[in-house]
Amino acid sequence: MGQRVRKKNVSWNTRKVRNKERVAKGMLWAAAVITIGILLSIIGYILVRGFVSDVRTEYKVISKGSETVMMGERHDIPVSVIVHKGVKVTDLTAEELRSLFMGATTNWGLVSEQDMKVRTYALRRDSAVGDAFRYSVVRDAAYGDGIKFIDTDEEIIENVASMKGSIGYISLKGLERIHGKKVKVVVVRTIAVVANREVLEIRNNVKLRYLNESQLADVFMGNTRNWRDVGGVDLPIRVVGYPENDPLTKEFEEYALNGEKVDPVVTVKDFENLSKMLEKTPGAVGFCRYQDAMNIKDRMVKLERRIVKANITPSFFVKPPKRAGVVGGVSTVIVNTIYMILLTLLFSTPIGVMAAIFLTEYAKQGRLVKILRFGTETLAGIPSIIFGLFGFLFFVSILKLGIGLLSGTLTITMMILPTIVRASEEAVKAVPVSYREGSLALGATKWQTIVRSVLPPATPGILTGVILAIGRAIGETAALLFTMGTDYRMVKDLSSSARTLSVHLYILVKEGLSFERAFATGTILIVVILIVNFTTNRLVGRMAKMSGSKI
Amino acid sequence: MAVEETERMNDLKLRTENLNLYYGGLHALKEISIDIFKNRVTAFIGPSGCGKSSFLKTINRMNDLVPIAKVEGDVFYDGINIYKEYDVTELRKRIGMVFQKPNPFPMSVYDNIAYGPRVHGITKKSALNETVEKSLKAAVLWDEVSDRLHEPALGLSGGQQQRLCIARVLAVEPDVILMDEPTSALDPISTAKIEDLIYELKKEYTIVIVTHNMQQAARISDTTAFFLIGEIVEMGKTDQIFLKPRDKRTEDYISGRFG
Repeated sequence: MGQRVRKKNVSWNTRKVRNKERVAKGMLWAAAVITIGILLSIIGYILVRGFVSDVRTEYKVISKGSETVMMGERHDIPVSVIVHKGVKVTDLTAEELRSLFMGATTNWGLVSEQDMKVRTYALRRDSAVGDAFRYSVVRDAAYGDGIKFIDTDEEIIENVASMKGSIGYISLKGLERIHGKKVKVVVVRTIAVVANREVLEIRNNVKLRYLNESQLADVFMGNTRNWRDVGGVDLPIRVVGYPENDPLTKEFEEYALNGEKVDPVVTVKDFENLSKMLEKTPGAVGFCRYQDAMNIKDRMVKLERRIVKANITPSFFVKPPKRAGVVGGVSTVIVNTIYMILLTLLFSTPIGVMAAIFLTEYAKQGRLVKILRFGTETLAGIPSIIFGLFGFLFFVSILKLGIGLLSGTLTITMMILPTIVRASEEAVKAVPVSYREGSLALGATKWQTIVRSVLPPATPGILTGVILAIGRAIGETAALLFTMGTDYRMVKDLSSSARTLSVHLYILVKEGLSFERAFATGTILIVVILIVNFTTNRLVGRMAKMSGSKI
Repeated sequence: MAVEETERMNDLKLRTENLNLYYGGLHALKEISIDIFKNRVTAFIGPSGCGKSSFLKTINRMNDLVPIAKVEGDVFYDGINIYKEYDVTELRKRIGMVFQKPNPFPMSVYDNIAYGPRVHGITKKSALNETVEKSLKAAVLWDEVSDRLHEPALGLSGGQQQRLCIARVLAVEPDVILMDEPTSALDPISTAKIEDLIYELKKEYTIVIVTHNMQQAARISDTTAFFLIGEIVEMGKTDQIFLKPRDKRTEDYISGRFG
């Protein structure tokens, strides 16, 4: 009611002060929002990348394929590839299939990230299906050494079902018999895209790198008219196709164009003609079976496939890393990290707390203590790589402890000691003098007083310092590289080299091994730190509640 | 010194002779020589900063905690010089102290009382239980806290906390209890309870109390000493100090002319 009247009574100066107040408040708000925004976006980005992997891989074949592939010289014999159920693949490219059967790929690692021996089974060469498979998959090359030739579909199914890591193929008739067996049918992606040489050359500093799924569809449906529009050279696109009723055209339309029609400029009858047409027509592009185009591999257009799936899976926690960390999980690395943290705390907490007690309770508050305090503060700000260098020279070389858990832990202890000392000092100082007086007046000695009535109320503060220290230790890489090493196997004793999560992340990125795994590792690190903070907060809260104190 | 010489010498508990206390350059206590007798309440009154509390702290050597404090002269407890011939923890066990602000430890009521016995080496559960109950009863707190012995002591009211601190002192079975303005932070009802308690405690203990409140000194003490700027102006029977002060300054203070 009196709002307006009161406003009139406000003096000019008051109004000015109020406006300043508003501006200041606004600026503080903005600063807070920016800070929180940055923090949240960083953590959010890492967590999203950690939980969801968005992998784009370039292949020489299109992203989809069928469970039954027409094989043989005339593409008229249907063949299905089967694997043992334990093999984690849903599809294989024609190239991978060829490599598996030629014996070039002997372990599933690079295909399915499983450390498992490949066992191949094929039908006898003289059977029609066997012959077609040989023609369509291995062509002129020889089968691998380890391959077993078998007479019938049933026997292949039996063999594949009984041995881990097995792969074989069966005819259409055999497909009915796989129900209830420990085998599964694998999709084979066989269609490649080939183009005129000029399309793939560098010109005016641009080059077609790859086509993603929608670009591929646009090119063949006539939606894109120039290679420039998909990142290539300035050339008109000329689609060369097979007749509309050709089985390959139908397959291509189904898998690459989502059932839409190819819009060809020229139609050719077979691969030979296609190849000739591509040779002489600038900007020409066509599709064919991968095996047909093996001789003109350099003219295949790279095709990008995007797969979005869960990045961190339960197995990531329980499996040890393999192949430099590209395959497997991080279980041993987590255990090594825990060992490192526990040992570090074992060394640093008692020493740090005792040093803090000495500095606050016993030492004469003179120049020496001032120097000591200045020293600890300075140590807390020294870059960790310098601690690493010191640890390498002192613990590894002079004390001859070698690169291993003990050297690394001692180095980290040196590094986090100042943090713990400072926090403990503050915590001990914050304990009211009246507690000390009360205790001493009861006839307790100084040490009894410290142990019984100074340390308990100081514990929450000390724990806060310990959390900070754990944070520094978990995030450390530079100081550990020279002192603790980078072995990702489980530590056996104090002298064995060990890799922590942060070092693992560093190596994954530095060696260009896998960004996906690096993000997954980063996510685990963040989650670990969250858990540590959360539990310690709860612990501190409970302790404060039990004592009833408010410090 | 105007202490009545009718006291028998074997009733003498504490005696100071030419006691001087310096805080760095400040001469806080000047030539204090007094006698404190058994089973009596001796009150120290005087304006703020006159040295009452400092004097109290020299008796159980709490001034040792102040790095710049220096004591000259002698303090005798049961005829023994406490600065020369007494172990400090033993002394503090014999001469307990209650502080101005209730300062229970941040632990349970039980642990607060058991603190003293524990630091003196008693670990037997039954003995501790007995001591806790006895001390709380002596401090007239048992009825109020017997059902919450294991709850935080800081959850008690101010008056309860102060009686807890008294009980805590009683638990180490002292001989003398020093009280440094024990009721200054308390409400009138709590104050009355503490005063009643002091009256009860004097039957078994020798009590020395510093108070800001002259009426309190008049109510509870047998002997009163008036401090002024580090000196004892007058000391004598409480009735005499309050009714017929010999010194002009005492009269001025008691009549409220300054203070």
